[in-house]
Amino acid sequence: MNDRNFFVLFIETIQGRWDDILVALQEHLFLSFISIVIAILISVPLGIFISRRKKLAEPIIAISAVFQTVPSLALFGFLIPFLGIGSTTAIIALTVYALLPILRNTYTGITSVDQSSIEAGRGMGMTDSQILTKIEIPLSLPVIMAGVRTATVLTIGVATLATFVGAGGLGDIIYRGLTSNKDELVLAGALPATILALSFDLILKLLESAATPKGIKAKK
Amino acid sequence: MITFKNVSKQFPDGTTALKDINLHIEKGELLTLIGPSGCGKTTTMKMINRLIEPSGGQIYIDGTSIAEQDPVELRRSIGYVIQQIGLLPHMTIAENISLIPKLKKWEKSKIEARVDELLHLVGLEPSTFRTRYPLELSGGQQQRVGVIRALAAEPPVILMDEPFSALDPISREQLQDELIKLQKEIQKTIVFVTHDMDEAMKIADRIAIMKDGEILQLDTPDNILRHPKNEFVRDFVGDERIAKGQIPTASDLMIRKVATVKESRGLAEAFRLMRSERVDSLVVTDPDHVYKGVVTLDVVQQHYDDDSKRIVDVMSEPKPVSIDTLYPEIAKRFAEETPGMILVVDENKLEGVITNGSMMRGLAGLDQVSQRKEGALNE
Repeated sequence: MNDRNFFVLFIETIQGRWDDILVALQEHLFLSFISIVIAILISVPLGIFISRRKKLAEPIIAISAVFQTVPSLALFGFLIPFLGIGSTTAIIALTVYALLPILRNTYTGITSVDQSSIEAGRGMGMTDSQILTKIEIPLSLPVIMAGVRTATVLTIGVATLATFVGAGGLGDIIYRGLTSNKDELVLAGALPATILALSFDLILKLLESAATPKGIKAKK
Repeated sequence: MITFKNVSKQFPDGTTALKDINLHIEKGELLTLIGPSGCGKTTTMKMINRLIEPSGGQIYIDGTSIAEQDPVELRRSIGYVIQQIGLLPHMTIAENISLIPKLKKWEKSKIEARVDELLHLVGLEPSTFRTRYPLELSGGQQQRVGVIRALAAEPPVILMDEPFSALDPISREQLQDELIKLQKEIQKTIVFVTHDMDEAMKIADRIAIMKDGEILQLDTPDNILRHPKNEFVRDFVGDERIAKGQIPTASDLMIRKVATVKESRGLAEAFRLMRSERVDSLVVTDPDHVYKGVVTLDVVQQHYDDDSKRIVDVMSEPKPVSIDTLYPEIAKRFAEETPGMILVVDENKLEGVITNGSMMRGLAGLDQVSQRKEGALNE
């Protein structure tokens, strides 16, 4: 087939399967979003916790790094015997994947807050929680947000594998295209996934910049 | 105000940071803790706001043991200034200053007024600086904010941990001067840690010299200079400073050879003496050299025709200074009263006079010439 034909075919596929694509996109968004939210809810407090107990930090970060090194397809397959198929399995696998970047950035962010700010705060009579909420979190927020951004882009990519545990998403369309040997269908699934990842990256980049305290930006 | 009673500190690794410290800090005094690194000066200071807990002994503020107070509440009543300044970079200058007043739940209008008042106090224009961020300020300006942040909630005690040592020499000098000025106004009890003897000498009411967890000597800068307790203190203060930098006294600044006259003499003799000595005033003494007063050429000429008058009738009696009076006091008297000269006595006996010229020569370390030669130079 020549390029022109492929392009026409692709447009026709998009038009013909518009509803399927929309459903898959929604599923994809749902899986990614839920996983990221859960990962944030776990990693940020855990990151803060290990920043207080530095002896625990290395092992815990190492464990989350091990999860990260398991090939994503293998992780999905590995979970099926325990959790069966369905979106729960997918969400757990994706969450595990998203943990490391957020955890590591939270830990790095919190521990790299200028100690003099913290000492000044403590010396002036701020409680531990005031130091956390008024000093440590605002100052490490840009770093934490960068971790969330990395995790989000990663998750949106990996979520295309959710189809193998029957959780749907844009992976469904890609998989259908692969099995029926229709490149245009593969692209019809892959392109929205890419656009989704890129637009989230952009949104989070803006959020990251918004999260950077004005006083720190002033220096740059 | 602050009392250390047998305070000791051992760190978990077994090192002894402080051995049995007893210390009383008066209300309104600026006490510096000074010593080589590892001497325990910072540990001592940080115990006052319970950033470090003592292993033994008690610390009292206004008679209350601080161990019984909530550390957070305690710290809010103690200002704290650190070397690294530690302004919060994500907050504006106004937000930084108002941090503790806010935690103490002051009213908003009161906080705003306080912020402006404090900025004025250190010469930072509120309308310009209120909304700036710390990183937009120079190091010296940042530490000025650091100091007023510590003052914000009007704590009676302020701890300063080498606050100026990271600044450039010019800013450091300025901030030291401002602190001295500020302390005159606010009269807080300040504990100031430093390793810089010049700084301690300049700002302190009293200096505690520490070594190996002990206070070797606790005294006024002057007494430490004059009477260093042992070799270490002498070395630490610096021999050079003792020999050269010691504050000059009246004895260093005065001329010893002074034209004198007895009080029973007549005016004609005084006039002749002034002419021959080429001076326009004479110091009047009794035969035992006890200071009586001064006659000047003006009054001698004024009363010259009245031959019944004696020196005792026309002399004035300006107040002399004692021979160990320090230079600043003498300079102050010259500045405030503009006398032609100041007489120096040692237990009523005349020792010499200080003139503007002799003071300059004394400060420059030059030999003093006689009053007469000086007079000749002036002609």
